Amino acid sequence: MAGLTSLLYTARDALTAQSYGLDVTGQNIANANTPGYVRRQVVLQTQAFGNQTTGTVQVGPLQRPTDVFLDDRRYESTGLSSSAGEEDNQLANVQSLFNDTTGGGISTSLDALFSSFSALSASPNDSTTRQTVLSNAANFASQLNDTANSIAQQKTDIMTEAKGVTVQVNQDATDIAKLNQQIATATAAGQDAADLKDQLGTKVQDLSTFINVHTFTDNQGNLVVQGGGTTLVQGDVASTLSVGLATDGTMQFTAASQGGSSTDITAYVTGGKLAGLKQARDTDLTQVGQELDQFAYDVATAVNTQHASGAGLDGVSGRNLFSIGASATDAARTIAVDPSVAGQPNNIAAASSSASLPGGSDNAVALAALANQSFASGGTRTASEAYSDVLGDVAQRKASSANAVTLRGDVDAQVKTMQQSQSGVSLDEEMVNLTSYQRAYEAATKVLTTADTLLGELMNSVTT
Amino acid sequence: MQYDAALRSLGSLASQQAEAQTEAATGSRLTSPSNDPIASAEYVRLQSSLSQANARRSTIQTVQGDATLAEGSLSQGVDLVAQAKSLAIQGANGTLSAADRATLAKQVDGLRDTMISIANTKGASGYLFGGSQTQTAPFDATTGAYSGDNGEHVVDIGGSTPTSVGTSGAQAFTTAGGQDVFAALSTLSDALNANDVTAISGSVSGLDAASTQLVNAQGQAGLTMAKLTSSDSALGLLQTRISSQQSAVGAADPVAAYSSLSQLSTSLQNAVAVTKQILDNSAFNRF
Repeated sequence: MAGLTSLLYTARDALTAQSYGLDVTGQNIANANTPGYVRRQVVLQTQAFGNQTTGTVQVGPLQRPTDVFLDDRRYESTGLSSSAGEEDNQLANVQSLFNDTTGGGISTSLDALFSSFSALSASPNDSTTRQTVLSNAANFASQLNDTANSIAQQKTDIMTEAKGVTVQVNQDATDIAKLNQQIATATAAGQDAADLKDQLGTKVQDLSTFINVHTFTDNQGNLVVQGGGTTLVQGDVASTLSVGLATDGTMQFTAASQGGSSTDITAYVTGGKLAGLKQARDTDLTQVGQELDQFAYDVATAVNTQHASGAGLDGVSGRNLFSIGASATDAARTIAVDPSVAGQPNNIAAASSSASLPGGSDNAVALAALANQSFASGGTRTASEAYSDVLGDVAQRKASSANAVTLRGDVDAQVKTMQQSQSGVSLDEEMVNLTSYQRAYEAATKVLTTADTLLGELMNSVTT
Repeated sequence: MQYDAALRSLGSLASQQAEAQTEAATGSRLTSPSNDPIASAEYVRLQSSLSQANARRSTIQTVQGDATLAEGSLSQGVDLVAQAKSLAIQGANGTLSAADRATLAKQVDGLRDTMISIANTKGASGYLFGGSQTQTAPFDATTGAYSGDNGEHVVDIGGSTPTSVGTSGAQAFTTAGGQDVFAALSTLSDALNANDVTAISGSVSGLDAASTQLVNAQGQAGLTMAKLTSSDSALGLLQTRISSQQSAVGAADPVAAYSSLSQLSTSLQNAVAVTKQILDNSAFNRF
């Protein structure tokens, strides 16, 4: 039978429950800015006295509202955003090598080379003019060398960075495996392991910035983390990711399971920093490098052919101005002034034949005229046009990657907002909760006072 | 979560503002090629055309000096022949003694020497009348024998065919042009020394031919100069056109740049105000 005494118990339970609510609200507010913190929800339940309809309140298990599908979408969007960001960073570096619009770059030295041919036609016998041709040729070659070397160096740096990233991936995978184990142990011991789950979420989110991540829970209730299409972590077992070079010189990602079997997962790495690094190195840098090689090869070959047809002041024909390989491969990195003319301005062929020496200038005119001839890109573009194509391509790549950064960043931010509205701490909501628990607590105190007063009156009437 | 969105939009506005600031400050909208890939490529191509026009103008300047010098030398040669002719007419006068004619002959020899040194004039790119033999005096100082060739000095100043800027010494001074100028002077000098009035009178036709030949050559040199000048002014116009096209492609429109800058500043201020409002709106501040 419910009586005044049970009212006391009810007040006690109410005080406990409401102060628990205050505790949890406090915890939520305290962790409003903690990364990976999922807000806790207090569940209060009625508790009947025996089988009667009256009863009191009791505290149910804490809830941690998460949505695995939303989390998975977040991992994906973060991976794509981070991949675009990394590619954009790398392309910004490449673009800085092509600073032609601000008055530097290869086009300036190309123009200077052709200008010096024009000047040579005016003064074919002037040693200063000849020296200028030589130094402009050397300058053009060394600019190409520098640019090609910077690109090669950047490719090396990207490999180093990718190795660093795989170390982080492996660290995260190991941590996730450990957390899985701890969560399993805690759950078996009847704990709710919410803190560990928060940490696990943070780790997976961190992992998703490095590689495309997909998660699901297997039949045993273990969290399975897939990275780059392969299982990185299952339960407490983590695989090891490594990066190396494939036979064709491109980046290759290999996942080694603890059993020792290795899988080439290169084709499946589509998100995260690793994908951005691979895209930058094996697509952007490689293609820009090849375009630059082709440009260097075309210019050097055309200039060489014309130059070799003329005669130096010593009457000797057949000298090349540039030394260049037999094919475009690595041309930009290896182009140099040919040893037969390097340091010997008199060997520059301004005249078309030894008969017109020393005043003959027709070969210099022909060399200068190359500036307007479409010999590059398979005979369709002039030297300047061919270079502007390379520059335009670099700029286009950078512009697209910058767009991708904005677009994917926006998507990621949107998914994050959705995730936060599901799992994050809303201070407004906590404020309302705080007030509501506070008022309920005050009311419970009132119930206690009332019960006490009534009991006191009862006592007094009995004693008198 | 509202803070994330606010922070993101603030960050985006701030970076846009920084970009607009660079554009307004440098006057170029291509500080990074990726701002406009197509315009950047075009800008570089225009830069090459501009550089070529610059190079050609400077080539013209280099050869213009020699062309002027050649024209002046030939005009001097025409004067010398005219002087020789007046000496011939003077020598043909019957009243003169043999000694007088010998004196005139010495004067003619002097004119011939001067003529040879004129024909051996050296310009910035070497001897002017030696064809491609720019490093050796094309005419022998005593005999006047020609050792040059017919090589033309062609230069790169645009146009579909290479432009020749030299003046042929062979055409101006030797029998290749019809009359050996030095021989005509020698003939007069010999006739004066020989005190042969008929021969003196006969030498005048040779001098006339020499004069015509030199005037023709001078005319050629004058044409070359005119060609250089007109090419130069055409290239000057081209430079202006390319430059204006280049700035149309690459330069920031100052009005647009500044208005977008101030617009972005306003947007940024608004965004800051909105963010502040969002932060103030928290339930905590209402209680």
